[in-house]
Amino acid sequence: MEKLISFRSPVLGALGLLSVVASFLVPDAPLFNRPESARILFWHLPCPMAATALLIMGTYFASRTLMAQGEKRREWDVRALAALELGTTFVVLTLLTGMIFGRVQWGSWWNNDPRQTSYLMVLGIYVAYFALRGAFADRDVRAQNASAYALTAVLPMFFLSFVFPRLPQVEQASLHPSRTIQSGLGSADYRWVTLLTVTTVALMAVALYRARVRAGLFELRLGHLETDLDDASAARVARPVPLHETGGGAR
Amino acid sequence: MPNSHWLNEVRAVFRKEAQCEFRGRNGLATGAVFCALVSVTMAFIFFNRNVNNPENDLRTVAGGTLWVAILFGMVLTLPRTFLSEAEAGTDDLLRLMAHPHSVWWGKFAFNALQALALTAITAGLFHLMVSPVVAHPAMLLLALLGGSLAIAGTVTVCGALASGASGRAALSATLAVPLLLGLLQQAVAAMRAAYGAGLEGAGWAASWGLLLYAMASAVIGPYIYSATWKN
Repeated sequence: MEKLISFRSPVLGALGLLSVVASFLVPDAPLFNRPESARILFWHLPCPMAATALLIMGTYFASRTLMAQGEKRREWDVRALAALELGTTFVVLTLLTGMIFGRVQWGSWWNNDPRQTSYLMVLGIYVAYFALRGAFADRDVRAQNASAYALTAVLPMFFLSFVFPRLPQVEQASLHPSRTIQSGLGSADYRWVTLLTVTTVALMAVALYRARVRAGLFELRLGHLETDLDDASAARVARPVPLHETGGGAR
Repeated sequence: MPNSHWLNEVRAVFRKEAQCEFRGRNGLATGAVFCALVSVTMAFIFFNRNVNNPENDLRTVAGGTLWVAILFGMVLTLPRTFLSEAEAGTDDLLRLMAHPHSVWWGKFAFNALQALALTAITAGLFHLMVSPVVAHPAMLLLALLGGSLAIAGTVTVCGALASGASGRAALSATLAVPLLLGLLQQAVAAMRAAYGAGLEGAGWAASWGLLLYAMASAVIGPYIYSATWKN
């Protein structure tokens, strides 16, 4: 399973290639201004799913960071940081793919659509998380305070992602299609390709997350090695050698 | 039955914050002047325009500009309760003398009082200068109360998190504003309804939502602060 979900896995590469090819083989969607642009849905839809899953995971790891002590706390912080970094990346991808779709379908990159704006606010919340991390030099204090902020952010994140876009007055005013998944995603072709791209993006997200965590844990171990080396070199004490013992000095 | 030791600590922290404020007058006074200036500046948007004309949508703009003025004033003023401890070097002394929950509740109580005072000043001046007709006064008051307390709770937590950092004043604002944007959307919706421009049902839902968010931030805040207590 580990080999399946890694960047060197031929299965992941084959899935990605298959997803791209399949997305071009499905027929154009007739209800769109430019029917061929509906294909952006295949890559736009998995991004907020991955983003939400990673942000929730990051919040869980942040809570584990606060509950742990010492070295375990640092390891949980590595996991929380990896999840929130990737989650933020997928939030950016969601906004970018949405903007591309909006440009083609509605004529402008930014439409002040409530769902677009609420997701931008989610991005703002997690950009502030990274600003907080950068403000502390001490790694344990950084882990502690950043995890506390991640827990504070969970309520606004849930409200902006799940509640606000579904408020009746917001849903009516929004250009963004709602209940796309509940309506079955249109034709069977679109359903199969969407399932394929969601699977591909999910596996890719897992592979990226694992790689990032490995890198973070390696950095931690490297930090320990450097500390151990510094301690070892500091343990040497220069002792003055009396000249009369060596017989080499003046009497 | 509440723990009298806990209540005594909360009262002591509150009294200490009030005494510092009355001696220095650099929190509420600065915030009040800032809010007043922002209110006056925002009122220029409505120069020579009738905000109550139903043909334009200036009632929504009025609600938005009022909350921008309130938000900026609070983000400037409220984090001072924690930031000043870090600047004066008294945060370690506070850790020796009190428990984290008591410290948080005492400071939040003081911040809530400041927030209500700033809101009263800002909203009063704004309504005097812009003169919007209030269709639902009870909704307006509930929205102002819930929104002020919700902002106070969030800004207090962000001040606590940023107090040990470099650039702590700017950082506390950077942390607080994104967390409050969703809340502000509800506050503007509530104000729009209170001025008679939006649906009354949506306005009441938004107003009660603000109050519930305030209660949630007051409940969660002490636990968040306790988690960062031992720096």
